This record gives sequence, structure tokens and C-alpha cells, in this order.
Amino acid sequence: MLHFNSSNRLRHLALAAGAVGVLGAATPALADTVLEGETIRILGIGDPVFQVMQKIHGELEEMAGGTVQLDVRPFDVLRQQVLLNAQNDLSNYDLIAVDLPQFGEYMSFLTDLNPLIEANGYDGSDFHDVAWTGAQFDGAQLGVPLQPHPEIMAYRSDIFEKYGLDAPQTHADVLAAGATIQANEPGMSGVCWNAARGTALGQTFIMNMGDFGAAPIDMEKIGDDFNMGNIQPENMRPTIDTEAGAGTAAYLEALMDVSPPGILNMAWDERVRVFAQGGCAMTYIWSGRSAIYELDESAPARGNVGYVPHPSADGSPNRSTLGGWYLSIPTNIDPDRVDLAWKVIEWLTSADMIAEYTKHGNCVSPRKSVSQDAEVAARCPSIPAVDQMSADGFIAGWQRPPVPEIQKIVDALGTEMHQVLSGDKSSADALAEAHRLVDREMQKAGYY
Amino acid sequence: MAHVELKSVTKTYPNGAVAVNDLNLEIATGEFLCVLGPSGCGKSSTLRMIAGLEEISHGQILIDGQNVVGKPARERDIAMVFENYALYPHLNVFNNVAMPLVARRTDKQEINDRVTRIAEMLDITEHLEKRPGKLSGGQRQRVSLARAMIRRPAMFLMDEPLGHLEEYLRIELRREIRALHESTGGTTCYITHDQQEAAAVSDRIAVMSAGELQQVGTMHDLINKPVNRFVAEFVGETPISILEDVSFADGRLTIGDYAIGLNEQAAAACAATPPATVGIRPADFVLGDADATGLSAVAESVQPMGETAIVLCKTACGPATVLLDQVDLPSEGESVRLAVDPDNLHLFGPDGLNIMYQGS
Amino acid sequence: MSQKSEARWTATVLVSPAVLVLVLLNIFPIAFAVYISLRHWSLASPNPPRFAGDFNFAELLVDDRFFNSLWVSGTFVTLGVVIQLLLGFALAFVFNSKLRGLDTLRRLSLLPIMTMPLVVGLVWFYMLNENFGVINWFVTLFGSERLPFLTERTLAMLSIVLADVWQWTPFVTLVIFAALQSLPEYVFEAGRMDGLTEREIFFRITLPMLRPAIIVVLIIRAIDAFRMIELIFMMTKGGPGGATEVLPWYIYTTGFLSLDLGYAAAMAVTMIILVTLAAQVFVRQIADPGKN
Repeated sequence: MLHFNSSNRLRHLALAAGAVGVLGAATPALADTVLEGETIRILGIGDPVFQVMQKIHGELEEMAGGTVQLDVRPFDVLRQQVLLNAQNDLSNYDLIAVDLPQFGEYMSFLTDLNPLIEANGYDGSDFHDVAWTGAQFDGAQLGVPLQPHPEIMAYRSDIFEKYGLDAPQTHADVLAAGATIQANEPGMSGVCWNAARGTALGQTFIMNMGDFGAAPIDMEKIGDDFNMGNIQPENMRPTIDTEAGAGTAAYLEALMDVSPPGILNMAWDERVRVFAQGGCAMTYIWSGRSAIYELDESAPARGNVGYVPHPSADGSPNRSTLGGWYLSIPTNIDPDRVDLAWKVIEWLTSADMIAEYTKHGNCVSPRKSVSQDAEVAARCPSIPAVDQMSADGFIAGWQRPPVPEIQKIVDALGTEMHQVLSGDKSSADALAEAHRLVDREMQKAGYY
Repeated sequence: MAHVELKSVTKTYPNGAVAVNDLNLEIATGEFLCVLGPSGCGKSSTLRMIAGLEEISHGQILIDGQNVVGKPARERDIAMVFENYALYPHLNVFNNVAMPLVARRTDKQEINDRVTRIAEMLDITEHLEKRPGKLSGGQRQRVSLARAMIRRPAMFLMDEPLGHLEEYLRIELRREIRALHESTGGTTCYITHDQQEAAAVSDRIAVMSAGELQQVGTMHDLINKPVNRFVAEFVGETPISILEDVSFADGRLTIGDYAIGLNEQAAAACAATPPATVGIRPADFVLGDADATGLSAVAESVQPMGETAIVLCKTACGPATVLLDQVDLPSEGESVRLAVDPDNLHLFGPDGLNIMYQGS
Repeated sequence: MSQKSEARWTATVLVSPAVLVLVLLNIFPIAFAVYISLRHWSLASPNPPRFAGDFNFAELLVDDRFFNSLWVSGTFVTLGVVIQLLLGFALAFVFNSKLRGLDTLRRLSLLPIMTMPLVVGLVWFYMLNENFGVINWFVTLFGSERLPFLTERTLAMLSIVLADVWQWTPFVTLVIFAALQSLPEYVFEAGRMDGLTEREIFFRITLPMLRPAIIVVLIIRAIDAFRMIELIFMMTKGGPGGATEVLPWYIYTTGFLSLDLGYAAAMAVTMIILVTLAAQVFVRQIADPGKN
């Protein structure tokens, strides 16, 4: 009986070996593709660009000539998984998606790509400067831009024209235009923005603080911008309870008067949808999300939207916060797979692929060559607008300093300011409290 | 104490089944009446209709001359003892017994006194603090009795109260129930399928079958003057023998090969309605040897039962059960003759009615 | 080996897998949470975790946000569970009546339980939304202003309670209904014979006999409601201000967004202690079967 069984098993093995042989014979055709029949393992984020990859997964694998294992996670889960994966001896992923402000936190376990860039003669100059250098820390290139885009202001050009208003450049412009339109245009409010409690409002605060030329921590100032590449412990002191902080709080309080109903619960997706349907004349928007109405033929906003940089406080230069996703290689990757991982980065961030993504609802291009493509520009009017902002130097990343404590800062502000906007607390008290909380956190972390 | 009268009471279920059909029954004040019958005969439905737990389809129920049909149970002033005790599992014995008084807003002191008294009477004083779950079946039924007797209702209803108890407890409790009845004198309607129990506790017995009342009377009446074959067969410790192949001519009754002269009354009855079968109680048979006069029979089995013995015989007219003293028992397979005193014959017409007592 | 000690040995062997599972899955995580709560342990920090003594717990005592979240949790649990209990109880009685068509209705009524809480949160978020919510559409139909269901303190709390009630009332109904069905009919008949009115039967018999089921469902629902996080995540993020920030949401943001595991663990440990104490007191007070 036993004997019979084992001979049976042998026969199965032989069959399996035969099958492998047949497959093996089929692979040479894949030799000149990116993957050559291999599997690439990517940990991605549930944002438009990776959702596009999921949507066209079949074509993607065909193009790559191998298996693309794409694990898409929500923001918080992705972060936990990246941090946990970093503790493994050998990484479970060849590529991970990194959000611009996360580089500070992930720095120690991301591979410096410079040697690969040199070895392959790769040229990063087609990328927007700020996008390309955003991933540089202490001279190391930690990622390649896949979907970096700024938070800008979108406005209804048709409505602005109707009331003879100019595109909003400053906070005062926003409030004035908002008030005019809200008073005269039935059913339309002034501005949609992220005021939901927690992360949404916290991010709004620091980005609007950037409109005052100020960052939430005491970084070294270089001209109108800050030195992000070299943040020292003494730079970690909060600068929230300051004039700029007070100005930001006052602006947000003023915004409440020109906001749609339910603003206190509004966040990323909802603000764009309400804007798309004509609920607001303006909205703060991550430029890539403009696809929500630009690709929706039933949206009243479609084709009637102008884009301007984040409006600034009077007297400060315009600075739109850069955010979005990069592809990076974890340091604990199997050394034999590094070259493959690099090849996939090159491929996924290539001009062809960036253009391809715009077809499926990702209105982002960090590459100048793609941004100037007329077809792409027609599809996504925000892309040339952002390209121009980038050329004008209106885009920066320091509003969200790449430090590990960034989420704590955002959370403290998002929680405290929500009480101000709900009328439960004075802005002075809230700023002092947020400042204290961040200060305490920094001390706890032992920076000073 | 009340006088209860059921007039043409009928119970039809929505599916068309008739549980009780045109029942007329009277329970005298202070009387202890048993309703006896096989399961499914409608006796429980009858009781529940009196109680007010079940609606009545047709007829009247009079308590002291008042029609109570349509009144809810609590307005009928009736206490009931259930087969499965129906104690409140979440209350201790004291509170179970006190419930009828609590429902009537009796004051605390009086409740205390009366519960104490009835508990002593029923010997459950030591269990007053316990919950029913901790009691044995016999104790539970005592509690249930105590709850029924805590006040003086117009009437007691008992629905097979001893059905779930072991034999020795049944005998003990039926004596107690009878004693309690004698001391309280309450009008009682008691349901059982056990004729010994019925005989032991009641004044009169009403026999029911298939939803219809068959006969009401004392146990003695039922045994000696059954109105029909059903009562004759249902009542009696050892079953009656029903013999066929019966004919009547010239004042003589012929059962198979056995002919007996009838008394005048029986002969007159037979002349009016020719009998189809004859019933003979086991003890009424007289056993003779093969040469004696009587119905020829073969003793098929002999079952000694202490002082008496039961002999099962085969006759040309059907099987016969004979009760004998423990002397002169036939051996199995022996041919015998079965004779009977003509006064002990129960003569049934072709419709199964007793032709002599019909209408009495 | 004597027979007795042999039996004991067998018992030990048979029970040990269960004990092991209990230790691994219940006791170890709690013990580990206590361990974490005594350390500075931030996943975001480049510094390795280090001993913190009672630092995290001392921090709790001066943390207004923590006390606010406790108060909010208490309010939510009390409101939600009381309404679910009353409503679920009433529905159970409706379903227990022998009306036609109720069986189908009863089965349908279980659908909310089978829905993922996150989806429930999302659905209510959309329905109550001020810009495109269907409920506000109805409100405007009646000529009223749109109501700030999710952005006004009281309304936001009530909205969360409403979503929770919608999802969990059927559960209460299910348990009470099952208990009702298992009550023996004869006890009610005894009550009627003893002269109780329908009202008295309800309060003196039905209710007390349902007590075990009520207590079980109360404890399950209270503990469950105390842990609720999905509705907050989908509907308000704890806002406006901190009006709907329940303790689990504060713990979640601290532990999983700010990655301050030490402080989050301290809160979680405190929460476990509070819930256990409350449950104990509750069970003793209400579930004590002794007196009548």
C-alpha cells in the first residue's frame, strides 16, 4: 500500500516537472520585457494612481511580461504595514509607496537610489524640480516621483466671470469672492475645504499656515522657503502659537462664513464632489483629484474651472503644498531583487505610463514632457496649470515637514482647531494647547 | 362555593376539529366531580373552557346561574391546579402561594397568616424560601395545591394534577386531595385518565369519549350500569369481555353454544331491541369443566396474581377474560365451560348502547 | 498512582489546551498592553522604547481630552443601549404576537446586524450629509432649513446613536424574542387563573422571567457599544469639537495615527479596568438572583 502510494506520488512529480518544462519553453518570449516572467511585489496606497493600476491590472501585467502583485492599502494601514515590514529581516515588498511628508519617518529604511541612477544613466531632470528634490535627504535620493501633486485652489471660472471677479490670489480675495457669490448665486456657497475633525483639518491648518510663509516647526529658513533636507533636533520646536498661527486660525474662522453646510464634517473627497456639483464656487483641492469632475460629463464644474496656487496671506509669496506618492525600495529588500525593483520604478514612472494614468482618472503629471502633451492637457486642465506653478516656483513641501512627529502635529491641530470652529474654544486657547501638546511630544521624543 | 352548569358546550377549533360536542353537565355545590376519559377525548378542553383559558364556540357555562362565557379567567373566581404544576420559576414558594392574594390586593399581614396556615396544611413550611426549581415533583404539586387553596374560590379545577408523579406519590396525594376537599367542601372538577384515581377522589365521575359525554355516575354505576360498550370497556380494572354471536328468542339468550334464561326485565328489553353483543365482567364468569353448562372455551393462558388469577380464554364468540380465585385453576390448553348469572349480563344493541339502561 | 490523582491528571491534560489558548489569546495580549503602557513607546520616534513608569497614566489624569472621551462614551453607551433595549423589547413583543406576515418581517429585520458597521457608518454618513444627504432633502421638502446632523454637538451625538440603534436594535429583538418564545405558556395561564390582569402578568411574570435574557443582552450591547469606533470613523471623526469623540476613537488616533503606543496602551488598559468594574457592579446589582 505504502509502496503504491509513493510510486503514485512520483508519477505526480513527473507530471509537474513536465508542466514546468512546457512553461519554461514559453518564457523566452518575455525576455525583453521589464519583468521577464518574474513577480514584482508592490505595496501601494488607495489613491487614484494605484487605483488606476488596479483598474488596468491585466494590461499592466501584459506590458510588464510578468506578475504584478499590487497590495493597495488605506493610508493608515499602509503606514503600519510599512513600519512593520521594516522590522523584517527580508522585506515582503520590492517597492513601497511613500507619501512626501513620510520620508522623514521612513528615511532610515529606504534605499538610496543614487548608485542605481548612476549605474543606469538615469535622468531625473524631466521631473518637476520640487518633486524630484523632495525625495532628497542628506544627498540621498530616496524615491522617484509617481504621483506628486500640490494642494491648489480651483474656482468656477464661469461664475467668477459672471460676477466680474478676478481669480483669487490672496486670503482676502477668497473671502471677498466667496461672500459675493454666496450672497447672489442661489444654492452655491463660497469655498469648500477640509474642515473635518482630525487629520483633514490639521492638514488644512498647516497648509494655510504656509500661506503666511510659516511652518509648524522651527526649521531653518532659506529665502522664502525652508531647509527640509537637514532637520536638526533644535529645529523640532513647535511654532504654532505664533503670529502666523493666529493669522491662520483667524482665516479659517473667517472661511466658516463662506462655507457650505456641513463644512465641519467635510474632507478630501466630499469637498471635490460638492464643488463638482456646483455646491461651492471654490475649493481647495489636491490637483490630481480634479479628475473627479474633469472626467465626469454630468458635472456642472467640468470645463469651467480655473486653477491658481494656494492663495496667500497678504504680503506672503504663494506656496502650494506638494504631497503625493513616490516609489521607494526598502533597505531590507533581497539584494538579488534590487535591479528588478529599479527597472520597475523606471517603467512605472516613465513618461508613457504617467500619460497612461491620466487616461484613467489620475490627473497628475510630475514630468514636464508629459505636462506639455496637448492630449493630456485637454484631458486634465489642471496638469498644465500645475506645470506652470511648478515653473513659477509656487510649489513647496515644507508646510508638512518630513519629521516622524508630523502626524502628531496634524492631529493636535485638527482636534484643537475643530473646537474653535465649533465655537467651543477660543483660538488663542486652542493654539496654546496645540503648541503645548506638540512641545510635550517633542520633549518626550527627546529632541530637547 | 358554587353550583356549575354546562349547557350544550361545544368547542370547534379553527381547523374544523371538534374537541367537545354539545356537552351538558352539572356540578352540584360542594361536589367533587371527575371527568374521566382517554387522552384526546376533550376533557382538558372542557376544563379550560370552564377556567376561561379557552374560548367556547357554542353553549353556556353557568356558575351559580350566571353565564360566565366571555369573562376573562380572573373574573370567574376559579382556582386551578395544572398537570405540570405551572409554578412561577422566578418566585420562591411563599410568593408563588401568595400570588392569588397579591393579585387581589390582600394586606401583607393577612397574606402572611394565610400562607403560613396553608403551608402547614400541605406540609411545605420548610420550603417556603426555596424556588420551585429546587423542589421535587411531589413538593411542587403541593405548592400548586396550596396556591389554589389559599383563597376560597367558587370552584377548583384540577387538570391531571398527579399525572407527572410517581405511583406511590399519586396514591398519597390523591388521599390528601380527597381529605382537603372534605375539609374545604369546595366544588371541584378534576380531570384524569386514571379510573382508580377517579374512584378514589370523586363523588361522581363523568366519562367522556371523542368529545362527547358518555355517562355520569358513581364508580359503582359505571361498573354495573354502563350505558354503552365504550363505558363498559373503558371502566373496570380488568377489561370486560365482549362476546359476539348473540341471539335472543323465547326469553332465552344464546351466546354461541350457551343458552341462558333471562329475567323478565332483560327479556322485555331484548324483545324491544335484539342484543348484538353481551359484556361480562371477568369476576362474573363461573368456570366449569368441559361437561358443565356454559360457553365452551379453551383456557389459553393462566396468570396468577396473588390471591386471584386471570385466565384468558378463547371462545367461538371472541376472547374472554376470566377472574378466578386461586383454587381449581384450569391448566393452559384445557377445555372449559364459562357460565354466568343472568343478572350480571350487560346487553348491548347493534349500536353499542346498553339496551337495558339506555335513557336512565 | 491512585485513581483520584490519575483522574486529576487526566483532567489537567484535557483542560490544558483550552487554558493555553486562553493564555495566548486573552491573557498575554492584556499583559502585553500593560507592559507597553509602562513605557515610552512610539513607532514614529527614532528612539527605542524605554521605561516610563507611571508617566503615561499620570498624563491621563491631566488630559481633558481623555475625560471628555470618557464622558462622550458614557453618554453614547447609555443613550444607545437604553433606546435599543426599549425599542428592541417592544419589537420582540410585536413579533411574538401571532399576526400574519410577521415572520418574513422578522427575518428581514435582521439585515442590519449582518451589515458591516463601517458600511452602516458610510450609509448614514451619506444619508445625513448636509450637502447631498437624502434626509436633509426630506427636511427641505417640509420647508425647513437643512439640519446640521453631523456638525452640531447634540445632533451629531444623536445621529451616531441613531445609526447604532438602527444596526443593533434587531439584535436586542432577536434575543428577547427567543427568550419570549421559550417562556412556558402555562405560567401565563397560571397568572390568569391567579387573578392577575394582563398588565400585572407583564410586570410580575413576563418581565422577571425575561430578566436573564435582558441582562445578557444589556451587557453584550453595553460592552459592544463601548468599543464602537466604526461609526465615528465614518460619520464624524469625533467632531464637532470633541462632541462625539468616544474613548476608542481617541485611543485609535493616539495609537494608530500618532503611533504613540505607550499612551494608547495606558488608555486601553484604563478602559479595560473601567469596563470590567462597571460590568461587575452591574451584574451584582441587577443580576443578583437572590431577593424578590
